[in-house]
Amino acid sequence: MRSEGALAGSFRDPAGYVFLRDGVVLRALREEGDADWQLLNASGLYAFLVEKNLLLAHDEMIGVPGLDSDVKRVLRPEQLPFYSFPYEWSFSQLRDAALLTLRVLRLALKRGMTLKDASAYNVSFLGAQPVFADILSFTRYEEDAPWQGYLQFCEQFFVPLLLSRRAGRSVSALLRAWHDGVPLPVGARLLRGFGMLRPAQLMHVHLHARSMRRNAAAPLGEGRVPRQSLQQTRALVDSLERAIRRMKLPQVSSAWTGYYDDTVYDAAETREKEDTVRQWTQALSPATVWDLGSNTGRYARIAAEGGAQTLAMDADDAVVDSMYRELKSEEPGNITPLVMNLANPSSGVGWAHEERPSLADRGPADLVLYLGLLHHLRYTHMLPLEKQAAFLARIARHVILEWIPPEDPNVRGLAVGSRANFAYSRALLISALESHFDLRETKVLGASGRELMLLVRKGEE
Amino acid sequence: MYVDPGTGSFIAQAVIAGVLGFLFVIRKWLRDMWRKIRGVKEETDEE
Repeated sequence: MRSEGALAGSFRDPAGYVFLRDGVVLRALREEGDADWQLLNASGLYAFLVEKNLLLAHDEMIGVPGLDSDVKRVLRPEQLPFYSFPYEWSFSQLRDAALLTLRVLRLALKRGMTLKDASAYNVSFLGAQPVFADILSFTRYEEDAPWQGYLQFCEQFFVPLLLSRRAGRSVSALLRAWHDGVPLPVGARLLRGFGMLRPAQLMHVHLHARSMRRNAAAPLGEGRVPRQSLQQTRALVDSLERAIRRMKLPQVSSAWTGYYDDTVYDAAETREKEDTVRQWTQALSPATVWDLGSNTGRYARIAAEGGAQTLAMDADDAVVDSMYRELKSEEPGNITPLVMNLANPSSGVGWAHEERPSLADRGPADLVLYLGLLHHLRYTHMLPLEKQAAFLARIARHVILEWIPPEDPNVRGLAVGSRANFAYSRALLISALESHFDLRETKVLGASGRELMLLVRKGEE
Repeated sequence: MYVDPGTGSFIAQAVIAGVLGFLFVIRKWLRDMWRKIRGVKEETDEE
């Protein structure tokens, strides 16, 4: 079992692995995985899930050379433009991913199959729709067997959602520190209080954690796995589904929810900015766009008009959640909102820092929108312009950057608040950019003094 | 892929699923009775 060429994050499942061939993600199935794949098809579950857009479609590949001798079959999954991870999702995204996992499990149980795990990493987002991506999670249902993924579901979905509800904002970022989920005993301690009166929380978190504590020293022998009927497993799934459906965050407004209303631009300048972003994006016709500091996604929507797969990233989980709920019902669905703090973007996570690649390692994007962000990172996070330029060059082939001059009211407000005299001028910005980018075009927006710059990374067309 | 939830988790799951399964049966029985009394046809779940 060599798994040569497997992606760095694909090593846990003996039933198969994911690998990259000529830029295409493929999935190799060993004997056990192949048997489950055949059952998935024969049961009608695969066709049903794909038809309902719950599962990525997979094509069977013939004659793929250079595979391990124990590989029985190769599948080509529908290619995702970008893999996002649970610690980058807002509350509603994690909630929808949890409900998708339970729905898929419920449907599998009806057709003689089950999910052998409940990892949040089995789900990804196509636009603003969650989709189940791990075909090897499906396996034959063994009569009276408990659900293997129950604890994992509680730690990766149920506890983070309950903690978010208690905090009034998303705590998905905890999943970056606790890669395999918030440990149940920790979750149970953090969730002590009146919430314990809720039956689902009491059972799935507190009694569950107590049982784990009491049986911590008991080895799990063959005869010690308790029996559990199919109906009981369905009732367990039903209970989790009902509890999660009822979960909502209070509608909180953050400093950024009304950002566009408080802007210094007048209507004409706003239109001019939108038109310029549209015109430059159309000229570049990018396949991928990352809008950094997207707020509620006004400019991500403009960039996505031409069909580019667009990520709208913001550090504020409240605005990302609001954007996600809006985008869910919008066509054509090529915008994925993500929670991302640019001052601390997703790093490599997991074994050898490689299981889940960093944001930069999932790039570069054809186009990055960097609008109204530079001065925030400069003053709030004290990030020098040279460092911002160097990071942009790692993640972007082209950049539309908005320069906001020091005399602008927003910058003055930040400068007063920071009580420090940071180096911040147009000349310094140009100097920071010139070793990484060519400045192709500029556009001053009305009387505001703000300026859009179209940057092309050195060596790019 | 996840392999070992441990004894405590399995025991908890069996107990919780047992209780929920029992409640599930009671709820279904009550719902069926209610439907029978009111003469309402059973809803079909497309999934």
